[in-house]
Amino acid sequence: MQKFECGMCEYTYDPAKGDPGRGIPPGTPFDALPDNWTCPKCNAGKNMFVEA
Amino acid sequence: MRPVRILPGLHWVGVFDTQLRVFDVIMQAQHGTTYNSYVVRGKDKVALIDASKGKFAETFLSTLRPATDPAEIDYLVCNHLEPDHSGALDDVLAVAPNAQVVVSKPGKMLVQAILNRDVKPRIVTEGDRIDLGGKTLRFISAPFLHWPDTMFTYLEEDQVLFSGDFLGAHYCDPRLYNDLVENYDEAFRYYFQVIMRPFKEYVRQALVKLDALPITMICPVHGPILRSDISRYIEKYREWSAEPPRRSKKRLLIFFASSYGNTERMAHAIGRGIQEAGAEGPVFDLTQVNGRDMLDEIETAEGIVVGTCTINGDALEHAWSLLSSLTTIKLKDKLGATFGAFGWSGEGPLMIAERMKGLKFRVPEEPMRVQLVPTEADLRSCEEYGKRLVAAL
Repeated sequence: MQKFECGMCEYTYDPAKGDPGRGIPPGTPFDALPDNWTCPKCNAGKNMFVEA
Repeated sequence: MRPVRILPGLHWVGVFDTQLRVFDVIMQAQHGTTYNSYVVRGKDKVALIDASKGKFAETFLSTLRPATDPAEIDYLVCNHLEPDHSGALDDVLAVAPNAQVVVSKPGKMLVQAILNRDVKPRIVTEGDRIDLGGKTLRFISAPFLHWPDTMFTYLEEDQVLFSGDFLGAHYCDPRLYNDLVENYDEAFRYYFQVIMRPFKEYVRQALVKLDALPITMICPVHGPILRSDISRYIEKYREWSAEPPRRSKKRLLIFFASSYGNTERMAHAIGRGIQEAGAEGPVFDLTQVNGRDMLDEIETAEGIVVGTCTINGDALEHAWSLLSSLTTIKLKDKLGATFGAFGWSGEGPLMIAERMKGLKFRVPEEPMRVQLVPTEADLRSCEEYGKRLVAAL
């Protein structure tokens, strides 16, 4: 599945890992993240992510 | 204002904002500030490092012109795209059609959102160089000092560091150099506390990079240029950004605002519980201390417990004020808890708990609330509450 990287910091969202710290299970595609999901590292909005 | 020649091929071209007293809505600036930009001229190319604040665009361009015809500018390096350094970007580009904007990767997104058009900037990363002809600009990644986009530019031949807001200060003195202006230590310290403090770990990373770099001059975007005793300024940053010493005991700070002493009695009972559980639980009266003076304490504690009574359906201003003074310290994963006595409704502690969650405190327990005068049983519950908080650390 496509990884997405934060345009503001070095964080990369890996669908295989999800974001378990905030209830996003492994296997969740980036597009399926809630609209209010933010970068776990710097809190940038979902719209600031680009395909890695 | 006139350009100031710093070295052969290097000019200061900035703006003195002597009237400014409040910067960025949030900061006092009793000595005004400067918006510093720099022109670096090599044998072949010219670079402008940082633009200026939008309202000073005309002033800025008139200072810039004697240093260089804007049409000669080949590169417009944006070390930091906050509007006080990018507001005049559009005006500069209008008269500098040959200038390529140079930014970090996050800077590309920000410059697009500032100009609302794609200027096809050149993206640079750690170690990239631009040769101007006998003047080489090297870019140093320095994120979150204090925005995601921030970077440093290093002029290799002259060992000059253009550091953006890092090592800057809101201090306006046309004598420009740190060894000519009056003592501005307090403005320098205050600037760190408000701007850099939230990013201490990034400050430490940047200092490691500076340690490896021969530096004869540091040119920030606000305040005096550092050309003597540079290490003194760097060492202050090192001291202020140092990791706090580890305490032997865990520590939860208890703050309270109490009308009739009921919330205060709860505070002390919770403190006893925390102590019995083997941690420290000092109690502070919010009518006597304020958050800004307690930042060091809060930063090094494992969490805070905030008590407020409820008046007219709201928490007391003291509790809100405490929470709104914490933006410059890292709160994520700190424990937060609330408590309070109340007359008949008792929303105060609930509202403060919600606010804590918004600030990314971990709030493991529901607020502890007691109607009016706590009974002995209530106070024992408060002690148990304190113990549970320690257990949740």
